[in-house]
Amino acid sequence: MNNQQPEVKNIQKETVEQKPPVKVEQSVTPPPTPKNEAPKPGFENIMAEKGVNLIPTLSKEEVVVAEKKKKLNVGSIVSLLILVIVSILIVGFNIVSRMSLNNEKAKLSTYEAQVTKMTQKMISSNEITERIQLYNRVLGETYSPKSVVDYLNAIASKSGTSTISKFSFGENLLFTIEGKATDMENVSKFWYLLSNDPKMDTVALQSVGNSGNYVRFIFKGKLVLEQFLSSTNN
Amino acid sequence: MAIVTNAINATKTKKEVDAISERVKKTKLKVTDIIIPILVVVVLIILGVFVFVPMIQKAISFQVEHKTIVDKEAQLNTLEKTLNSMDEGILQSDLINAQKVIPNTLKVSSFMYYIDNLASQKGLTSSEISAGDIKINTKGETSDGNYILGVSGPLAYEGTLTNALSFLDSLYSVSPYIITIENLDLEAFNNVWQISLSVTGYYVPVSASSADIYSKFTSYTKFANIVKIFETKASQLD
Repeated sequence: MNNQQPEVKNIQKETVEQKPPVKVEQSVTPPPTPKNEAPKPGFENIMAEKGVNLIPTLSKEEVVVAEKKKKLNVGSIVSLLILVIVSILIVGFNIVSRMSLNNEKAKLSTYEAQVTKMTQKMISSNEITERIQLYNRVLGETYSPKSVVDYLNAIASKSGTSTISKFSFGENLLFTIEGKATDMENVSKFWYLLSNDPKMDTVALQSVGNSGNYVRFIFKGKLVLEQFLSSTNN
Repeated sequence: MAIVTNAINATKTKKEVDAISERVKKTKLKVTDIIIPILVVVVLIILGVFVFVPMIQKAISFQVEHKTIVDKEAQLNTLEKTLNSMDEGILQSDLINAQKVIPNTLKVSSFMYYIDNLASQKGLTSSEISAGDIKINTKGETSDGNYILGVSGPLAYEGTLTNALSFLDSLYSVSPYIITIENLDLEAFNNVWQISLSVTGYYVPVSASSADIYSKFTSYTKFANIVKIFETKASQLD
């Protein structure tokens, strides 16, 4: 920037030196303007109406600085615009969100008041549901003792002379049966039938022995619970 | 004349030079030229940190809350529809039936009277009868409040096998109460069968008189088959 000023001064000096003295003015005719040549840039500024314009055109550096200033001015305006737009957007988003929320809150409170009037129905329904759940939980795994006893008696009858004189039932249809038969063959047949029964999970002969005219036996096992549930819970 | 002209030209030139200098000075980039963009950036940063970021955070929290409220509204809408679909008269009737089958309180005396009466009707004679209140801990639940309440006791009767089995069957199928049988033993002594068992009857104490409208609600009408069982059992008690 500072280097430009002396340059300008030099130009001025040269311009001053180029000017001819006033006396010689009459003899020297002004140089004719070349008609065919294209005007040089900044020529209009130099050639004024009544004289020579001594103000020079801007140097490249000056043009760059002027451009920079222009850009900065435009930048300021754009920055301010962005600031305003961003502010409006954010504040607007905030306000819209808050308004929407308040609106929904009002709607919800109206809804709540409406539904609260019906809570008695809810309480009654819950009370019934609680009992239904208890019913399902308690009777979900229960069986009909009659059907189980009848079923075991039917197998004993099939085996021949075996009869059951004691039934004991525990959890999940674990059972112990005691009884008697006329001979070992009937006991073994009964054991075979129990072992091959589709509703029998496990079975074992716990003890067997002669007692006078008959053979006593004790079987322990487990029946398939699901097979005896159907007729129980209704 | 030439001297005057020269002087005038010199003055003119000086003025022009001054104008050029002034113009050059004007084209110089000054601090004031960039002060507005810098200020805007600084203000934007300050506003961003202290105003915009909290505002955006607040707006996001509003959005989240809005979503929650919309979900709640949907839940209430479903609840309202479900409750509206229940007929008040039928609901009360079903509640009375359910309370008869599984009462709020089950008196030991009433329960035992019913069992003993049923055994007598089936031609059995009692040899042992006792009962008391029980509190059963449900599976996997150890905290308070997860208990099933009931009346339970060991019973012993004598009679024929047919009568004993009929009695056992009636306990389930005819009994108006919800009953379970445990530790069942049937033993024959000279054609007389002894039956010993533990019988438990259940009850549900009075629940809270308020309901949370946002809690998970299951309509009892989904269990129509069990409601029907309650209705049948309740009619047997009348």
